[in-house]
Amino acid sequence: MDTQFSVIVVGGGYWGTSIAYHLSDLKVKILLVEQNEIGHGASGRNFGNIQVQDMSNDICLQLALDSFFLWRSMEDRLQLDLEYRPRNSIIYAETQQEWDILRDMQSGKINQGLEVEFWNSEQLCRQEPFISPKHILGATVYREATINPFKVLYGFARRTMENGGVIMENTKVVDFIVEAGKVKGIVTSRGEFRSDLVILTTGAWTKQLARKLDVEIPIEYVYAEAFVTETLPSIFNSYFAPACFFIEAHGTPQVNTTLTATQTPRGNIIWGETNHPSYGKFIPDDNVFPCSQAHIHGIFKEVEKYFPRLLKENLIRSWGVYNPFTPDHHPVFGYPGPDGLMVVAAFKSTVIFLPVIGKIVAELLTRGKSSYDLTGLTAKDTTNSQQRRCL
Amino acid sequence: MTTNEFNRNEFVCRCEEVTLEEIEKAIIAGARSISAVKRFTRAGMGDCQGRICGRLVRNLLVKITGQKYESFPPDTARFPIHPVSLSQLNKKNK
Repeated sequence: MDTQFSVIVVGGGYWGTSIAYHLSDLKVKILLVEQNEIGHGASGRNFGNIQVQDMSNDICLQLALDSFFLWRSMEDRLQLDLEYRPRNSIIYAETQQEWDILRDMQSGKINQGLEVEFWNSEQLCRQEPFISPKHILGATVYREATINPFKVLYGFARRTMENGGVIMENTKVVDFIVEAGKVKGIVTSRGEFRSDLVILTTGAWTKQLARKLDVEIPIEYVYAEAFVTETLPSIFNSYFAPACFFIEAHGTPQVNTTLTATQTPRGNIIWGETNHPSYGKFIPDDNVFPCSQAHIHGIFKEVEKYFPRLLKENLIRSWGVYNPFTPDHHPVFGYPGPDGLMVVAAFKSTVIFLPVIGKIVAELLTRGKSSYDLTGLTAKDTTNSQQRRCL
Repeated sequence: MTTNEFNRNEFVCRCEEVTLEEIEKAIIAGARSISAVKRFTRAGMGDCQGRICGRLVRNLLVKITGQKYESFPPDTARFPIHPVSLSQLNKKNK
């Protein structure tokens, strides 16, 4: 078995498979290791939304718009069906304060090329008859898209292997190989592997893994829950999220439920999301993703408020996910520790950035620089008040 | 060993209408667990959540990979254990 690679990617989710694909496409010798199965973490437990209108700063919005353009040709590029479907994204406001903030925030983005529309509740109900308008003042709407997460993950993985990349599932990283202060590889449950660069794309597991190198990465996580219904006729064709979701989901120390909803191409409705913040705790190894009473009660209340006619539809499954985030909501993207280590994790939205970040990483590693100015993308390290070594 | 003796257009997963041929292709493409086959093909994502097809998928994994039955543990069961509406759940929760 070959044990020497140019780049080792740790984490078989969206970031890991995308970066492995983009690098292998340029003939970089890649090993991708995943502690469980491809997509076991958050990348296999999401709505598959390609989100644009919720970007929180200028550089993120510009990258998102560029990446959205790249997404339109991704199926052609990979020569695979990813179930790419254009779809409206609706962010709705319940209170006057939310509506004022939302309009203000989104108006600023119009100048940067985000052609978002503002709908009143009447327009919303004409387009989406199942929504109850009682509690909605207005919404911002943008034509985004959705993909099938599994088709994307396995698509990137398949093309990586066809390009000569090696993927090892059920392979846990237990330590790093460090020589003269540089990271030179990984120690896994299946042996040692060496490389010039190790890229951690380990999401909510990044913090505990980086501590093996005495590197403190400020990534926390929320444990988020969702329900899935049985398949239903086409009821709505949008992704719904309340404006308060983007404030409350990761911003409060208490358990909270804010409704995000969508219907898959197959017809299942997904009701999310109850969030349990878990500051400072490491993810348990037990592979249990429990369904909480708070989720049952919280989702019932929200669906009763916004989609009362759908309360009688049967749920067939619940799921849980460890969603990574940083307290300042800036992603970790760069070289935060010893030479030979890169981290790509905790972007507020992930799917949207896959093409452009994959391209940027490939540029950085093959040409030494990126065609994008990434100033402002990442932020100061909040744990020791020093600027992270970032791109 | 192949499964030539069966009609490859037969549904293994009736809820999601996933055929034997689709599951075979997924396993040959690299799906090496019941949950991986599920993610590749949707087999097990329907109303029965794999109660009917789970064992069939497991048998196919054994036949095609040649590994032991014990190598393919069942997929994880999640709440709810049978289809139930939010209305019913909320009544029971009270």
